[in-house]
Amino acid sequence: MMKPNTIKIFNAHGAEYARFRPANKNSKNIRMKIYKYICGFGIACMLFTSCKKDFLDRPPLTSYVDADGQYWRNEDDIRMYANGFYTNYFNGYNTSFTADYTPVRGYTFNDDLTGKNVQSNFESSVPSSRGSTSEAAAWMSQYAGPTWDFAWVRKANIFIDRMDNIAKANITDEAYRHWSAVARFFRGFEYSRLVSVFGDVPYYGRVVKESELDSLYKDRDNRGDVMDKVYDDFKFVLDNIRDDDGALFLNKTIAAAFISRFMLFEGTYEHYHSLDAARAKKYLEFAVDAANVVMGSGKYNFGSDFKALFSSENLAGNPEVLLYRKYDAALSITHCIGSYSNGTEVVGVDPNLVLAKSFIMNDGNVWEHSSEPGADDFSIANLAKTRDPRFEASFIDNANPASATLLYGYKFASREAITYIGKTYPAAWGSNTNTSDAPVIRLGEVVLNWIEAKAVLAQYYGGPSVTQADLDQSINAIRSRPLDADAIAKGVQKTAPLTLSALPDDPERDADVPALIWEIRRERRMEFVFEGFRLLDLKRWKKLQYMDFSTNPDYFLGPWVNLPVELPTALTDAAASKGNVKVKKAGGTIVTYDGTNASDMVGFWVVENAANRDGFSDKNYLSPVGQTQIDEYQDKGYTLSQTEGW
Amino acid sequence: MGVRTYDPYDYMIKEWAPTQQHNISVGQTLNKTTYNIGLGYLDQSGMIKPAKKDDFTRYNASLRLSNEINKYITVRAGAMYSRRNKEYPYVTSSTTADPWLYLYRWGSLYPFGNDENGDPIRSPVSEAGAANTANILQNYMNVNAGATLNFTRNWTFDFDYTFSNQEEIWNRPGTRYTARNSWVAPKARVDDNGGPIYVDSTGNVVSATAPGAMPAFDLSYDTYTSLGANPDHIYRRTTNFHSSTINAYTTYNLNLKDDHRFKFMLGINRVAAQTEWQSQQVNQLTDIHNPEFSFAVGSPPIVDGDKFWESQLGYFGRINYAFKDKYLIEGNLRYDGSSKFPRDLWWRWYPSVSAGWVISKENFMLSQDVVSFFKIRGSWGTIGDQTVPNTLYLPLMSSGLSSWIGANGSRAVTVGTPPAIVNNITWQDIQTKNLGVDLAFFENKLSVTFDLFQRNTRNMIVPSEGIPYTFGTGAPQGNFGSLRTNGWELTVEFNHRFKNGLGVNFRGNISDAKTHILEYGTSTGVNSYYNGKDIGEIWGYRTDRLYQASDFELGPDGNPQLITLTADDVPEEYAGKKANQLKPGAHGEKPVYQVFLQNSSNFFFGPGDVKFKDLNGDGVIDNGSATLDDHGDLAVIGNSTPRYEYGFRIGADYKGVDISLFFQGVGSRQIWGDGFLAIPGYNSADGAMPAAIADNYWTPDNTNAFYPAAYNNAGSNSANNIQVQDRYLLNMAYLRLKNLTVGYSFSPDLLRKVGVNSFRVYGALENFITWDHLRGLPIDPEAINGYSMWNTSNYNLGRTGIGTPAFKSISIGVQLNF
Repeated sequence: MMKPNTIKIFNAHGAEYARFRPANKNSKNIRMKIYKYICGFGIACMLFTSCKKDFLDRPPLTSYVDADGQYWRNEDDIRMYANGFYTNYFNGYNTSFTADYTPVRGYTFNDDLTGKNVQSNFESSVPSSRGSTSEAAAWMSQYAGPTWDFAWVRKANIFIDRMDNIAKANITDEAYRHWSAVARFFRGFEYSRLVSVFGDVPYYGRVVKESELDSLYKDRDNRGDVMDKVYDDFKFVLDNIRDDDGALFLNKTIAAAFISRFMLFEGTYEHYHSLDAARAKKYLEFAVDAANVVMGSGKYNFGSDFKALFSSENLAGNPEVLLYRKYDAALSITHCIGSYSNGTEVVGVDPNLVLAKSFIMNDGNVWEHSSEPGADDFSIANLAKTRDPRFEASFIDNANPASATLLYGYKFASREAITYIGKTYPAAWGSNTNTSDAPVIRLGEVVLNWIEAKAVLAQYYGGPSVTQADLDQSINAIRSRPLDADAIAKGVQKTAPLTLSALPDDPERDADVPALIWEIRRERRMEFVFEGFRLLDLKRWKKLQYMDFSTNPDYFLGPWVNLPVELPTALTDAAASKGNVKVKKAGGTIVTYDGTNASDMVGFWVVENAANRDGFSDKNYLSPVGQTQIDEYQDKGYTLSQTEGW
Repeated sequence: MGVRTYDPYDYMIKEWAPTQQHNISVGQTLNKTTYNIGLGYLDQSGMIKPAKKDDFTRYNASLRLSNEINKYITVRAGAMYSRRNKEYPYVTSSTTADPWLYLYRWGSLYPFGNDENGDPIRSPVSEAGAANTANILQNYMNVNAGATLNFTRNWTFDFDYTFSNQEEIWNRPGTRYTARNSWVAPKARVDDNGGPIYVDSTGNVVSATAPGAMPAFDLSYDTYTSLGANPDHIYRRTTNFHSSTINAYTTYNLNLKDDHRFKFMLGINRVAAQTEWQSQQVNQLTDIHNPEFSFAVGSPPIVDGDKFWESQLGYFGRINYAFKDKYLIEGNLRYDGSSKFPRDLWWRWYPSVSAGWVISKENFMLSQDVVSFFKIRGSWGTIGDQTVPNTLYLPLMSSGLSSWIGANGSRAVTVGTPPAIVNNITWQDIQTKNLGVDLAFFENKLSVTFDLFQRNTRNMIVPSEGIPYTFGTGAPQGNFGSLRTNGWELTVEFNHRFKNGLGVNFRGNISDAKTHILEYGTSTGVNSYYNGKDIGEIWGYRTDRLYQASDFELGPDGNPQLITLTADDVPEEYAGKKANQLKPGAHGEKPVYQVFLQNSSNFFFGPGDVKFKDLNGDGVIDNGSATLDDHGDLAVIGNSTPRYEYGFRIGADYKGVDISLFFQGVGSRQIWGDGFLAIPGYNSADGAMPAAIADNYWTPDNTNAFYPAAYNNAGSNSANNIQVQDRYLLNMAYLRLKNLTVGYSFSPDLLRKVGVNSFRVYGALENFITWDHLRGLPIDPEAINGYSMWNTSNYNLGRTGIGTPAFKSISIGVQLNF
């Protein structure tokens, strides 16, 4: 007789719960056995289904949790969090077609550039709503800064909070101080940007909870109070950040360079807008000190030619560049700034005659007083040869119909790139597949921040006078940059040094700007064209009126062209040409092409239909906040003040 | 090609798309074993005409078995498998702008089809034709096993276990497009010497001096998808989902003297589920006709993946009591746990009770024969809802790759900002009260059911209210909200067969529900979720009419005069703004200016523009501060919730012929549209405009038009003339004949001889007739903005009426039973 099969039932933990033998025919107790069988099965099922203790414990499988022991455990964790700030603050050429904070594509609203038809207008009425809580929110091109968005403030405050409350125990004191400095740098960076756009903004020095309505709904703090906090953060940064944290990571000199930018901005803004003289002085002195950190580090010099700064495939080792952004087609991280400088792509707003005329002659004089031959010849080819070498490195040296002014900016394209005009561009210089590295911050800016802060301190705040040695360390150091071989071959020459004893006497100079400061401003204009400083410079100098193109007819003109020779394709029977192509003679008469007068089409190029922007006023220095936000505060019993003038 | 008009519909849409469906099922009971086998097949063609493949197929098979081992034990098991495959042209990876958007987007001059060289012209049609075939394949399988144990005649125990597994494979083989590129300037056609070639108006080459000769141009024949750009890639995503479910309960019935019947029940539900997905994409195909991973060279590959899990466990008990089947009472108690909340908030108790009274069983009702059934019932109960993501209560930091490239040449790893969270998130409670009546008359020929219900959703998980931008992140979610829905439902059914054999039947139902916010926050903004707000309500302006030239002070040139308004004309805040000068009213009243609604810098209300009503009589049109206390001229002008949803079926049969009609409709619903099919002047860069708008807008010669004077709103659906307002609110109420079926069943006597039980042939029409109030706008009233199988909220940018058009279908079928 076979041994009866045994049935065992286990629960999830493997304990044996019941053991049965199927009943044999002879048993009187079939019924009882079946009961036992059934009960055992039922109980086993119940236990099986419920007894697993942690059945409901399902923590996230693929995310870090912001909590002690789960993150902020070591420097690697902290570095990964800090990495999240880089692309927001060190935009370089941004990526793909994104124009935010990019030269050429993004920074197009200023007095250097003129487009066809009516120039883009200043904001004229309070927007119905303004702001975001997204880290990905787009910038506001008209203010060259962020919208009403505190996401990055919160991100930095969380960083600072977790450093103090979690990470501090897990890392060395040196590391704690360094990363706290990194966090404060980014908080200061964000508030500097917010203040440049809105002026007064509510300041948050810590993470605010959703329940703290009095804090969340507080009114805007005075911009000086905010910038004092930024000043303190930046002081902390320079005292605690590492001198070197590895290539392409934020360090003391990079931070100092940015600090010189923001402190110069706020110092001059406070000064020229007559806000708070004590603060102006404090910020400007810090701008000088911060710049000194960079200039005194001995790590950087002007050993690179100008063109290589903006169009090199690799900026590693470039002695002028403190921080750059890398691009790599293989990683699908590419940009479009090269292609918008390639001689074919249309940008829409292009360098005007006012900008061209502001370039200094290479003898160091303004064109009106230069004895050089061709000083008053504004043909493109002559300008390229006789002006500061940065002219030739920034603009194509012949008339280019892709530009509304015929003067085409190619600062961010290599010399090779424009050889493809009329052909198919390689990926490096066409579409959004460009891979040239972007300088994020460079010594050229630092020395110009430094000399301007010093000059303003000397002029208005009893600071030490600017010496010739100061100029030699800054403006003249820039002017002595080497020229690249192609520029030399074209006959481009370095510009003579600026001397205190013989400052140019520019007839265009504003009466309220001393000659030295005027020349410092000119140097910035030549150095930074397309790079995004111009609008913010006008704002801090309180010179937004330059954006009113009615003050100078040259705003609507390009350089001098001999159309039948330089650009015969502009003179055709097509409707776009006949009746539309115009030049302005030296005497001021405008000649319109009528199909027969080609030989007379020599003069300053007239930008098609160009007209001034609508009127604007001092309110346009700062952005309004949204009406919805004002209403929302009121609805909750709080007040959000509108920006002055709006 | 030449300049002419094109009808994209002709090029894009297949008018006739066959569908076939076959189902077979076999079942039998042999001794104590029952089995059931089902097999099914469906093959449905899509409507994209140029596509290589556009179809959906489904195979399914199922098997169920049960065996009564003895009087105490019945065991059962089953398995089910289905394979669903959707094939479609992979035109783009975008779900916010696909061919259906572009099809409707441009004007009728936009060329479709081939040029005279026989090459396709770049268009949604050429791309759909050139696209390779993507597919979404879903394999679903489940196995289940269970048993019923009968301890005694009154005491049973049921246990069922189901394991299901679904895999989804989404293949997206891309391509690069080559076509005559209508997006860039055409190139002059030249002869061998570079001289121009001339053609006449029919496209024939002629000499330069021939009458009507013109220089020939060709669209450039380009491969316009650059290397590695969308969709030059191959992509594959696999998703695995599996779950285990256990349901077990035991029931005990107790009858006392046959008058008192009790039923006791205890049970458990347990579910555990896990989902994992992974995707790979390689850019730059080397063979665009056979896209495979081995023929793609982009480096590095783009790989992504994630996984989630969750579990629920619940215990329940129930007691039913019936007295003589007249008075019925039921009580329930559940104890539910969910993995979606923090440990101390996993568990919650949920009670419910109900009672019924079958009046028709009372003695006093037995003496009549009109009312055959009459029952009144009521219930109250609370259940838990945990349909939220698993980890809302945790501040998760997602990691990823930055676009910042480090000095080592690879992308920097970043870990993102933790969101703001509320760490005591727990169950949402749904409390329902219901009162119902079931009535039947004339031996159940006519029956009526009516229900009145109220549903309160308490502790609803919603973002914290009233968090300003200064918070720096989205408001955290928590159990902050409370909603109340009041509704009713009525069903009427009638069946009758006349003596001559004609049978008629009718079944109709109508329901309505309205939801409002009980509590949320303190905001009173009309566009916020203020307490008391009806869900779906639309605040807007009331439209008076269109301005005519006679409303304005005209200058000597006959045109309206732009003036700068002063504090005499308008309230202080609008002084300094410009407007066309209005004439005073008939009795010298000050004109009402609408400068607040001039959203574009060059838009000024003039003849042909919309004149709004000054509802609050303050002499100016604006929204006040857009709050309940001060909403200016805004009013509630509609509600986007479908109200009075109804459906009814009418059927009749006579001597084997049967006919049935099914209608469905919505009694009331309004939406404010978005996009070029709904908004006049939506965006001049998009050329397309429905004829309903293009034929009926204001011009000096057509002053009686419905739509205002032309103005380009540059992509806004609420600016200038087109403020949210009642005149252009879309009335989405409709009635649709969803189905009309005519069938014929062969006589059973005849069929029995050939061994067939029943045999019916039928023909059906779906969606053939729709009555709506959309004034000829090409919008399907049933469709939802922005929803498709690809993107559930922003499909084709959420524009109204832009999506796969609703099918109208005709089908013919055969039903055969052996």
